[in-house]
Amino acid sequence: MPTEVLLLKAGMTMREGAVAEWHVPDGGEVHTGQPLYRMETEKISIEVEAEASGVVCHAVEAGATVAPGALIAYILADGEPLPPGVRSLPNAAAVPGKGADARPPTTGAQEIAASPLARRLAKEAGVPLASIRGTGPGGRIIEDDVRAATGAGPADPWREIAASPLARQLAARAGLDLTSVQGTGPGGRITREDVEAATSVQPPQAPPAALAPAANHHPGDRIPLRGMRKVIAERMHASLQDMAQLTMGMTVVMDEAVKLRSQLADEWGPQGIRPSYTDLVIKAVAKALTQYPRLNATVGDDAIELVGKIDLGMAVALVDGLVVPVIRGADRLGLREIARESNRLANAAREGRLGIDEMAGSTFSITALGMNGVDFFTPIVNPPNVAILGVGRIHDGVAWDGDRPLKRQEMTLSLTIDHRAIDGVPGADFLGAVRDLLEAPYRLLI
Amino acid sequence: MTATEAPPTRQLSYVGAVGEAFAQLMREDPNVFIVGEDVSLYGSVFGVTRGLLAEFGAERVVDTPISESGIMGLGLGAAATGLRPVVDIMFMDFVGVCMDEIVNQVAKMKYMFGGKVKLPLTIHTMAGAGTSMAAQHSQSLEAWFCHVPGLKVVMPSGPYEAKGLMVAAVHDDNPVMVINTKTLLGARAHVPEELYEIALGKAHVVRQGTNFTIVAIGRMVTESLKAAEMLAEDGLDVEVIDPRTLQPFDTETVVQSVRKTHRALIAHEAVRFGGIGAEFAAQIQEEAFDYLDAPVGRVGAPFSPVPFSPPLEKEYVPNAARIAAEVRRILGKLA
Amino acid sequence: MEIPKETLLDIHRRMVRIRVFEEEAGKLMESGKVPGALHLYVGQEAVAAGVMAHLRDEDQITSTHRGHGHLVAKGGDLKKMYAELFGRATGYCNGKGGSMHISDLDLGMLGANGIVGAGLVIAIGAAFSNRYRKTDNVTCCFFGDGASNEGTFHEAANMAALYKLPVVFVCENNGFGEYTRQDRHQAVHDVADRAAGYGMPGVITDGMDAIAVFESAGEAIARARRGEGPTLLECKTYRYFDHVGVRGMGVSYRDDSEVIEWRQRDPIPLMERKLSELGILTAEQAAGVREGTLLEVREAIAFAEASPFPSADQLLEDVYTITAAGGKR
Repeated sequence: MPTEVLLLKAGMTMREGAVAEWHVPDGGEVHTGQPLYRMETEKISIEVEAEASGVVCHAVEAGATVAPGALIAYILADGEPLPPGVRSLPNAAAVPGKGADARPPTTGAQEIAASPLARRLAKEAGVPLASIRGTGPGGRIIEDDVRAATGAGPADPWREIAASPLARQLAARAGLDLTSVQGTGPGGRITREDVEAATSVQPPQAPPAALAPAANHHPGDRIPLRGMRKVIAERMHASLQDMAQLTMGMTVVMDEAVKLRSQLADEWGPQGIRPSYTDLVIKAVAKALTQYPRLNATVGDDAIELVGKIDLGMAVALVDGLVVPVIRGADRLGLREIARESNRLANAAREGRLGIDEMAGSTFSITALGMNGVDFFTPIVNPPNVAILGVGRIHDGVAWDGDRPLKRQEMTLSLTIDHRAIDGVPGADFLGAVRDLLEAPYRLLI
Repeated sequence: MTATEAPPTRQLSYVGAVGEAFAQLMREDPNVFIVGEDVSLYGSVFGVTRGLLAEFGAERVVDTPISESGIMGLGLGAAATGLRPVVDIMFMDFVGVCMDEIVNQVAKMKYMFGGKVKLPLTIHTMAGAGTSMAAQHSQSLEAWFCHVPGLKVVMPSGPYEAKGLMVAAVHDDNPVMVINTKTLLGARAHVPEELYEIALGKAHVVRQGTNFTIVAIGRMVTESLKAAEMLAEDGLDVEVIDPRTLQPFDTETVVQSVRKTHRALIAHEAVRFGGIGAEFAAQIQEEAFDYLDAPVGRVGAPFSPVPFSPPLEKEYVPNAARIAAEVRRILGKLA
Repeated sequence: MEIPKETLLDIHRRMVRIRVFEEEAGKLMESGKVPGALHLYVGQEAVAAGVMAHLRDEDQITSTHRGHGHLVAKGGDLKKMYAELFGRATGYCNGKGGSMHISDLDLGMLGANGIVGAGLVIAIGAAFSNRYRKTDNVTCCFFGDGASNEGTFHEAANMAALYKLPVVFVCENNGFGEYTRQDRHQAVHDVADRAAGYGMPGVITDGMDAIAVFESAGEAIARARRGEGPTLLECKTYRYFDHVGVRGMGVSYRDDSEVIEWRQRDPIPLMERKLSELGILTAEQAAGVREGTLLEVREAIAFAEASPFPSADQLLEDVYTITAAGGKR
């Protein structure tokens, strides 16, 4: 079997690299350990040695840029043929200034009909187009063909499942895997009712995600990165990659807030409004942001744009995912309206009934893990915001009056900021302002 | 939990929506006036200005001789001297008579004068075939004007858009051409009673989908939604986008969609060759080339003037079946 | 009619200003110092001066491709004018328009225009607006014998008379539509004859005699201000330079003798003679006006030459008016 030479992956974040130079020509001989090619990425330039001995057969030209792990050459042992369907590159054309009439012989690859997407996917996967069978119009290689060839599975597995578009949308929002849903529509099509039935297995007031996933998944399960999971994965990763995030914690004395919340719960309970600590934090944040507009901003290409409105995203955990519905104009809402709105959005989120417009456009986000027993954590900023506030659990703590211990209720706020836009001190000032409001919470009612 | 109650809707026709926009705009701003052929006493041949003369008087709802150059020039001169005119060109086919005024004067005056003039002029006109009005009363010529820097062009696809875009157009301090479609005049939809704007330059995703994008304008939005239902049977989940504003075009929204769905076509009533779909398709392939799994298609009218005879005209005007067929053709067969 | 002395001197000054501006501009064009083509007003000064002497800043004018004379007569800033001809950022149009699109909205000058006849329909819009806004402002529309053949003339004349708009159509009949003599481009000799066909008065006046123009224009403008509608005022005039550029003599389409003959009736010496007879202006004073104007013009040209060109990023500016997002009145 010919040895495959795959492009070296240098580092976790390497996305692509160029074979800057071949040190062994196509058809040349190489020994193990001998420098085979030089790879360049935007960060480094590195000599890579051959890991086998034999005849080198280039799969890409010098200068080609491919993904790490992509196939760039074969090393053939004595007498070994190339794998079937793989044609070698014309190395004659690579020699510059050979003469005006040296017409580059056509590669098989240029005569192969393939969609731009298919070409890109094939290149990224390091699969030569010539080895793929095309099923598009006129035998064109299309996306599905590349996926089939790379064993990646159909691009849009949902196309194989009959489901109404609305059912798909609702399932996506609920993070529901359609393969687990029984369809009762015509021809076994999954309908909206089927999705609603499937999601209503969870009670609307379900506790946040802590225990539920364990009941649904088993060791050895493979959870595909699709739909909401995929979106979360991409966004979180991108957030950390694009920003310079810094988290700071601050302890808040919650005695007054606990009292206030309890009073409000009694007062508003009959109207069906359940104020939570998170609601107090939301209100405190909204007020504090009017004093510290720098934290209610977006980073553009060459400027930090302060946003005029204060729309607070409130993270809501779902069965297997997370959504961030938005409380609009939080600075102009009273505590009661905030509590009512946050209740409504949380319920809608858990039932998969949130509208797109209810999830878009937050200017600052708040996420709470207190109910799950977390004290301090490093929440990830929700792009394109520049900050996010994490709320920890309320627990008994101790303050000291000289040598005398005093019991008090404490809670840690975890503020993550994008250091590109906000420095530590302004962030700390803002956090302090939130703390001050929570420690004298009557101010939240004004 | 109970489903959210649907808010009460007020159904209004497309004609009514345009008329309501005019009336509310004229109430709001005394500098708004309407000028054109048969707009005053007759209430417009399409009925869009009915009742305005009675409410606002002949000074503000002005009948003109049949003189498109004069009408357009009047609008321009008035806009350059502090007023906010709505100029009505009865049938879009008549723009030829005032091409110089639109293209060389209205569109360019601001730029040629180094920015030192503001032209808050709205040109209202009617396009579209399917009413046996024959070749010179049935064209859709939006592509001509999208090509002229200095003009903005919008094309409402329904009553809600008709009112919102007209309001935005009149409020805008630039020359905006509002191209309404004759065959949509009877359409009915929910139209809010209050004065509202639909922001110019922002496309609207009418139907979310995952594996095919149709960009449609004017009446083709309705047809594309029907086509999407047809195609759903084949397992296609079509996203339909209504750009609403053709110039400036919301490339970003469309490109994001195609990056997601990998396949696209544009549908318009205008002749396919050199229609605005060609520009949109070029932009899509430029910005989303590596995401395309199929060529970007276009559905438009055949390359001929609009025929008179009804069966021929029926052949001529694109519809849902044609759009769905084109989708299938682009995909080779159903994958 | 008794015209005040100050008015007569003012008319004279306006004419001299136009003449010096145009002669110097012509030299700049011939020496390649300004880009593109200039259409010069030399010979027609009496028309612009005689009309503009009646107008306020709020009264508008529309103009032609031969618009420098109109703007100068209306009080245009010579520095900004030359800077525009030079294509500089300090020009009236920030260098974006050039000679054929020169304008000053504050002075009511709605722009020179590169399309023959375009100003006619724009003028009726301005006149309509004047009345709509309940002012007594008047719009004067300048156009040539050539333009009177464009469809816009027909449409504007009809609508102006129909609506009784406060507009005066000033036809500067210089005997040529570009390079084609009038008797080869229209069947009538007097453009004013057409007025009756539209339902408005047609008046002919000697376009080389500034005082005659002033008097006829005065009547037409007063009529318009009173709300009695438009007038077609045909001024018989002549351009000494070529359609475009300077060369007045030795051109293919007219005989030099014709130019020489019309030079006998040069409106500026004609005016100076009249003023001298009235004892209002001596020869020295007239020379002084000319010298003073020349100094001002030279200064303006120096300003223009020293001005910067617009920067590349200004190319895309002012295609549209940008207002703050969601801006509503």
